[in-house]
Amino acid sequence: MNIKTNELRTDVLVIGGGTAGCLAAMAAKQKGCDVTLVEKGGSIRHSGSLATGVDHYSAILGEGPWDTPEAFVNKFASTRPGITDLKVVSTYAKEARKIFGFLEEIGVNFKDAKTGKYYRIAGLGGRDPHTICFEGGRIKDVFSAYLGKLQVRLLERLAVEGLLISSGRVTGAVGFHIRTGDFYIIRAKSVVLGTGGATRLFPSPTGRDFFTHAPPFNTGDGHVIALRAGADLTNMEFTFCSVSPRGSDSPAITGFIGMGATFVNARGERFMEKSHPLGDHAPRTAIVNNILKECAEGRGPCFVDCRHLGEEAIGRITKGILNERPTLMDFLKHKDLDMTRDLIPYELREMETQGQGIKVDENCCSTVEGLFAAGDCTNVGLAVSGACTLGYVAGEKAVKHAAAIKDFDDDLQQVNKLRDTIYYPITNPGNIRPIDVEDEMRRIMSTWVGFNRNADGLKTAIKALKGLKDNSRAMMARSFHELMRANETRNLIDVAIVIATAALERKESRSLPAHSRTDYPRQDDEHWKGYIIVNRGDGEELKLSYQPLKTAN
Amino acid sequence: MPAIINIDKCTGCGVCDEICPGDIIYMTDDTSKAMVRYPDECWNCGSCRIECPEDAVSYIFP
Repeated sequence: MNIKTNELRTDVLVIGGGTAGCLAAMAAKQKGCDVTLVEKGGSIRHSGSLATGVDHYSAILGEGPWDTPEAFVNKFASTRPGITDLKVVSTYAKEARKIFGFLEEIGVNFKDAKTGKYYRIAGLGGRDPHTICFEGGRIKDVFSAYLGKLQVRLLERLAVEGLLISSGRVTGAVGFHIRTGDFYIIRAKSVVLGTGGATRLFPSPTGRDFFTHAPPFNTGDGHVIALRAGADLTNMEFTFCSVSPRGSDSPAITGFIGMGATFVNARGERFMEKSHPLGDHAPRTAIVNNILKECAEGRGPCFVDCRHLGEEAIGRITKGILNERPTLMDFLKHKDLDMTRDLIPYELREMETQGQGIKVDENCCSTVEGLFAAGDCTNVGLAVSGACTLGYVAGEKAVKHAAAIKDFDDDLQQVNKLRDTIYYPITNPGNIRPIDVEDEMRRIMSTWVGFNRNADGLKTAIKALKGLKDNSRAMMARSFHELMRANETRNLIDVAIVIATAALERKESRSLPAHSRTDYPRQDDEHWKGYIIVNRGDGEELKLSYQPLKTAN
Repeated sequence: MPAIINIDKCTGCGVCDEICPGDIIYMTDDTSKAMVRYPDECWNCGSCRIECPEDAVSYIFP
C-alpha cells in the first residue's frame, strides 16, 4: 500500500485539542517555543468535552475566606474519598486564579450579562459558591482564535497512536491522518498529552454505545501510548460514573442542583442528606451511589425536582443547558418533559475513565522524562478549570524541559514497528469488524467489571479480554476512518485490561460505586490507602505495585 | 437518533463535515450535499447544528 510519510520537528508537541491541550499549546507558544497541536477530530473548535461549549467554571477568586487556594485544598481533601495526590491539587489551587485571569484576557467572558458580575453558585462537592455560571457556548472558538493568533502549528484529523522513546526520554510521536491515511512522524523535545478519558468501555444505558456521557471519541489513546512508552498509570480501578436524565447523555447536575433543584425518590422524598452531609451538593460519586442505593432498596426510580423553582432559576438552568449541551433541550422536549411541571427521571450512566490514568507529579510530568499530561487522561480529574489550569502548567513545564534538549532523535526502527502495528487492520485485513470486537469488550466489562466486582469475575474478565486482544488481530478496516476505529478498539481493550487488573489487585471497596468488591466490601485504609500503580515493565505483561499515599488525605 | 441533515436545505458548504468531532459526516461523492456516513457513531452533540448556516440539521429523540 502506498502511504505518504510526513516528518516534522517541533519543540513541544501537544496531543489532543481539547481543553487541556489548547491551554498547554498556548502556554508553550507564549514562551517562544515552536509548538505543534494535534487533534484527532475535525476541528479544535468542536473537540473534547467542550465540543459544544460549557456553562460553568469552578474558580478560586478570593471573594471570601472560603475562596482561597488553602481552603479549596482542605475542602477537596474532605470531599474526595478516592486516592488523590494533594500536591497536584495544590498546584491547581495555587495557579487557578492566574489562569482564570488569562482566560479573561484572551476573551472568555465570565461575567453575567444581567448583573455585570460573576454569577456564582455551589455545584457538587461543597456548599461554597465556587462555580461561575457563564455563557461559554463558544469557548472553543475563543481558544481556536487565540491559538491562531499565536500561530501554533495545528494538525487536525491526525490520530496519534504511538510515542517515540530514546534512552527513557520521550522524543516524539507517530500517527496517521484519518482521511488521507498519511503517516506522520513528529520529532519533539517535550510531549504533552491532553487526550481525555476513555469512554465506550461499558454499554450505554441508552442502547447506543456512542451516546455517552463524555465524548465517545475519547478512547484512552493517551493512556495506552503512555503505558506502552513506560509511564505509570494509577487509580484505574476507580471507574467514573455519572447520572443523567433517563435515556439522554448529558448530566446537567451542576446546573440543576446549583439553581436549587433537588433529588427525590419515587415516594417524593429527598434522600441525599441521609447518606451525605452535603445533601444534594455531595460529590458526584456520592450522588451516584446514593441513587444506586435508593433504587436497590426499592425506592426508585429517582428524579430531579425543579417544580418549586421560580422563573429566574428555570431560565438560568435552560440557558446553561443551551450553552453546554443544546441537544438536551431537544431531548426533554421530545420526551414531553417540562421541568416546571414534571419530575425529570435520572438514571446511572455507563462507567468510564475520567480523571484516572497517567500518574503526574506537581509539575504535570509523568514518570517518563519529557512526557507531560493534564486533564482527564491523568490521575487528577478536576473538570474544566482543572484542565485549563493544569494544561497551562503542563505547557510551561514542557517548554522548560525542551530548553535543555539539544538534538532531535532520528531513530527509525521503532517508527517502522509502530507503523506496521497501526496499519495492520488495513494491510492485513481479517474478517472481523472493529465494532464487533468492541461490543464483545463491552459485554465482558459489564458482566464482570461493573458495579459488583469479585476476584473470580475479574480473573474471568482478564482472561477473556486478553483472548479478545489476540483475536483483534483479525480486525479489518476498509477505510482510514475504520482504521481509526480499529486502533481505538485496540486501545480500549488495553485500557479495559488495566482496569480489570487494578480492580483485582485492590482487595477492598472504596469510592463507591467506582470500586465495589463484593468479596471485600469494606474500605481498608490500613492496607489500601495508596495508589495501585500499573506499568508495562520490560515486556508486554502488566506490572503492578503499591505506593502508600504520602500526603494527608 | 443521529443528526438528521435536510438535503433540501443543505447547500453543500461542508462546514459540518469539517467540524464533526467524530468524523461521521462526509460530503456525497459529487460534493453537493453533506451526509451522515457513520450514523451509529453519532454522539448527538449538536456541533453540526450549531455551525450549519442553513439550519439544515435537526435531532429527534424518539
